[in-house]
Amino acid sequence: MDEVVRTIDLTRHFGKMVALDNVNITIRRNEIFGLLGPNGSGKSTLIKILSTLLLPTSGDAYVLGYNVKTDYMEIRKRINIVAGDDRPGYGSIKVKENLWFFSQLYGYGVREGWKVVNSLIEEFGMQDYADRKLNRVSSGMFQKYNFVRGILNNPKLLFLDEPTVGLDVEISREIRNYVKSWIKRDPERTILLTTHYMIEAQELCDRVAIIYKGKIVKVDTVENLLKLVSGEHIFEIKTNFILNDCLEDIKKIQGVKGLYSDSDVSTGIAKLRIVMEEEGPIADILSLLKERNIKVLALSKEEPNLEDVFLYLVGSKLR
Amino acid sequence: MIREIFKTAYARAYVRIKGVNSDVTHFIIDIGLPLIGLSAILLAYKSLNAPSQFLAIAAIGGAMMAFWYNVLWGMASQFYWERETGNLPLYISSGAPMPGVLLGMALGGAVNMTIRAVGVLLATVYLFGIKLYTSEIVPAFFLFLLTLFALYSLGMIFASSFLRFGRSVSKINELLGEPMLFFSGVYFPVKVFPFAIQLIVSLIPLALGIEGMRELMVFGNSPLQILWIYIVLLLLGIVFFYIATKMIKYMEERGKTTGTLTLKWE
Ligand SMILES: Nc1ncnc2c1ncn2[C@@H]1O[C@H](COP(=O)(O)OP(=O)(O)OP(=O)(O)O)[C@@H](O)[C@H]1O
Ligand SMILES: [Mg+2]
Repeated sequence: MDEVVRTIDLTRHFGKMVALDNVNITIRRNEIFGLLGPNGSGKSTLIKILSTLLLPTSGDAYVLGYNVKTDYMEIRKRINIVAGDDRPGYGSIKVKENLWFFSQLYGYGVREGWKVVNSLIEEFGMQDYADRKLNRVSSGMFQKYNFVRGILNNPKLLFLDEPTVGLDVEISREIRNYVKSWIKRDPERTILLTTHYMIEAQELCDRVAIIYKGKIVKVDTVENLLKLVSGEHIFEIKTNFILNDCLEDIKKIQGVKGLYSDSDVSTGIAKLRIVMEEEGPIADILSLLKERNIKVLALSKEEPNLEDVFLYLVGSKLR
Repeated sequence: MIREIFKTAYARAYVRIKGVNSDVTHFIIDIGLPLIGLSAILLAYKSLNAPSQFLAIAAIGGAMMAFWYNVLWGMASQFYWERETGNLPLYISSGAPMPGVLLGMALGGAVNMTIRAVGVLLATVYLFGIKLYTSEIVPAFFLFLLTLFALYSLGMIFASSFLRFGRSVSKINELLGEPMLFFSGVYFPVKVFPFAIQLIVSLIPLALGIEGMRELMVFGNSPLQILWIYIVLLLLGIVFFYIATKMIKYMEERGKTTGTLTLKWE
């Protein structure tokens, strides 16, 4: 079974809303497959269908060869889900008791469950807070606990729905490292990861599907996706406060293929990322900024990342 | 399959019993507050020089009252909260039998409440010098178990079907709270109701259980005289339990179609 997931014209409506629109993807064994898309693009909806919590409106989906509509019990034995914005478990009992509880749902025996839980607690360095009540742990500890819960049943397919959302850099990195080493240890394991952090997709995923408004725009390896914009020139300009119509004027300059900006309200500094076919227009941009009395604080040439790919393919920004 | 159900139930009950009893102050509050409410009634009866049987009637009803609240707040609205935290989708996608989860919630709740109810009853017996017949204690205990079986099976139906009320579930609970206690005759014998109402009331497990226990422990009647109560409770329990397992299945299917299985803040 080299095809862990296959969807055929998979579509899901919510009323008139089309959350997934004729999605056709395959996920291969032992890969980390990423779904990259902005809020509301249908990432979680796809996960819910594949994890048998939601039925498609039309089309089909197979997980490990089983049909999600009919063979869902077979699928459930072999999957698990970790969603970054959920808080599963019970706050008034200990972290390790929560893990044991889930081990029972996953079919371990009473004592076998404790054994598995205790060894995972050790492996993940959770001894410090395994005896703390779940409602007393930090969000970083919680996410680690939730990840351990997610691998407790040794799933063949693990769904990670924005597993690092809201976590600081340090803990996010720790979780990403767990993900990498977990999948490496067994060739039967496969991961479907959703994120809207492009660094996460770039660092973890073997292949990435770019999803936008329920449609799969492109599926390829990170490397190949980056090649799409390798011919482009990417600049980052830091300025003080900048108005929207000025951004619109920059977009109109010949040779500018895309632009997105982030402004930091607390410092008043705006960061513009500009994708261009050639380097020439940068001079025009700088003179335009000067005309408008906008101070340029820094200018740098950047390596393309997935965010630029997204911009290039969809024409709007990821976040 | 049966083994799976009991295993799941055991784990779910464990969590519930551990969780509720991890704080001693909660335990004291859980016994103390009902005791105050019940004491008010008992003092009123006492000051009116009511026959001592009246006090016993109220004490049994008052101790049983907590079970009804537990069914509402610990069962009926439970899945709403479990969905908010993300537990419910994980239960379902784990493949563990959902009737086992329901059963575990019920068992855990029943054990927790029994400890408290016994506490309340013993306290009133001691404080108000209430006399109860103890010669039929074993049949009374058996009746008590049957009452819980029927009552919590009803709770399991609520747990699955109330998911569709979303956050209004707390209003529904309030609506079911006092009226049901009233018709169960917590502080008075249901015989005061007209016969037609008594018939309907006899379908409420709590009312039946309270009535039966009074017959045994207050009036010293024999279990044979109230055999019908045993039978009705048993039948109710079986029927309710069966409906509950169908209901949870239906709820899951419906949720998968409408998308409400994972919907938050509904
Ligand atoms: N149960 C539901 N009922 C109605 N609409 C829903 C439901 N679940 C999702 N939607 C809608 O479907 C669309 C896709 O939502 P989905 O949660 O899949 O997006 P997402 O890509 O996971 O977004 P995010 O990055 O914010 O998590 C959204 O417009 C959302 O409002
Ligand atoms: Mg999502």
